[in-house]
Amino acid sequence: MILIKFILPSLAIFFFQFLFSEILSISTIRPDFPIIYVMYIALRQGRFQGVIIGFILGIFIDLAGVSSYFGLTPLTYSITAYITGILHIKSDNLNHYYYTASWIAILFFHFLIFSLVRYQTILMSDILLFSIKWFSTTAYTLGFMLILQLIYNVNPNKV
Amino acid sequence: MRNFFIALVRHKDHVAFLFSFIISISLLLSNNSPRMLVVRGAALQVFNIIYSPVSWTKSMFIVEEENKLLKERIFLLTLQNEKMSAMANENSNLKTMLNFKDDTDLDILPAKVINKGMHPNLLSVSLNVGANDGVKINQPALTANGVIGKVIEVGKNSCIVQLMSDLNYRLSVKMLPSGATGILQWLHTDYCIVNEVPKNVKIEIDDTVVTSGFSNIYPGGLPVGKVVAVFDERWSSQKSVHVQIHSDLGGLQYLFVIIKAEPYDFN
Repeated sequence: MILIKFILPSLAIFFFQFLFSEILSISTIRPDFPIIYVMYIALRQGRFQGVIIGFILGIFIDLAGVSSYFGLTPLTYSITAYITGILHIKSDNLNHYYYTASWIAILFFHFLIFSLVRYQTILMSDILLFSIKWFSTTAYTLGFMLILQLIYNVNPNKV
Repeated sequence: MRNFFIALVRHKDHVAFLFSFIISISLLLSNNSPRMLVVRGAALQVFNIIYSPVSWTKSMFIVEEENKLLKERIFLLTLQNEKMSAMANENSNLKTMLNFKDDTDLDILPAKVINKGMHPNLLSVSLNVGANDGVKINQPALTANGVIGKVIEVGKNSCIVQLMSDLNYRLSVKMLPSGATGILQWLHTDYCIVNEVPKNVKIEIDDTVVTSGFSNIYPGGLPVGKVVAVFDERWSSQKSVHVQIHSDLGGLQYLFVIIKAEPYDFN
């Protein structure tokens, strides 16, 4: 059950990102499918599953080739899954629009942490450029996540 | 004890997050430990084997166009080479006359980019050469146009190159003809910034930027880019220079690793 529910999809997402994310890149910015998957798991299955999957996926992503800050990806994925898990707990009590706005805000927060580390230099010299980098990195992944909503809605109360 | 385990199970999500947080932080703090380097080197080997069929397939799609471009380039380079051979002869004669000894000796290893990592931003690439080919950590990496990064991880048959777009990358550069030196760091896309340039140095747009030769990693005179903007603030005794690098970060296919480089002997 765990194999079908978590391990196989995780492997599929990992290899999809590993092999095909470069094809979808726009000017060195690539979509982040693993974080979409981690958020889906956290929203649908709960915080615990999201944190574990996020941590393990993050480790593998960093092992696949990162030049500096090895360990940043599992950290950001775990934090995002932990925060997203709150929505899973409160999904019954939340208005659908508020629920959607919340997970979009969490995605922006995830890339804010990522951008604060990666684009520190730009933040200190040109905050407008930093904001553009942050928004464009987030928006590209958010676009794919919104498309996936049409196939598999992230809100468990809206099947 | 039983109550402790019950509490752990009840709050398993918080416990899991705490463990993953602690382990991630410890990984971040031990990036340069020898054991970590061994593990990353071994993992790199495995992932590059997995990625090699995709890399081969992609290269098949572009091989015809690439072949045509390479033929044109070879032709132009042949013409340029003949011209430079004549100039080199003249230079050699002049050097002999001035009793000038040139000790520069670059040994370059060509390599193919087989993996560009998985992060949302391009920060590093993997090459198909490693320790068995003589590659070592901190060897410079170049494209045909200029400096692009340096080797930071080495496996037996592959290595990771830290690109200029990585936050932690710094390069000591010199701007010609003024000779001003500074530390170059990446800004965005293919633009970099050189801060702390003395204000009294005259720097013009389109000035050439090369490696200074002051570092232990890069020999001097390697092409880096050209000056595109100079920012001179009134309240500061220094100015900032924006540099556009020659290399295209998004289109990396082949790189060169400098295996052996002797520093210039200015005696």
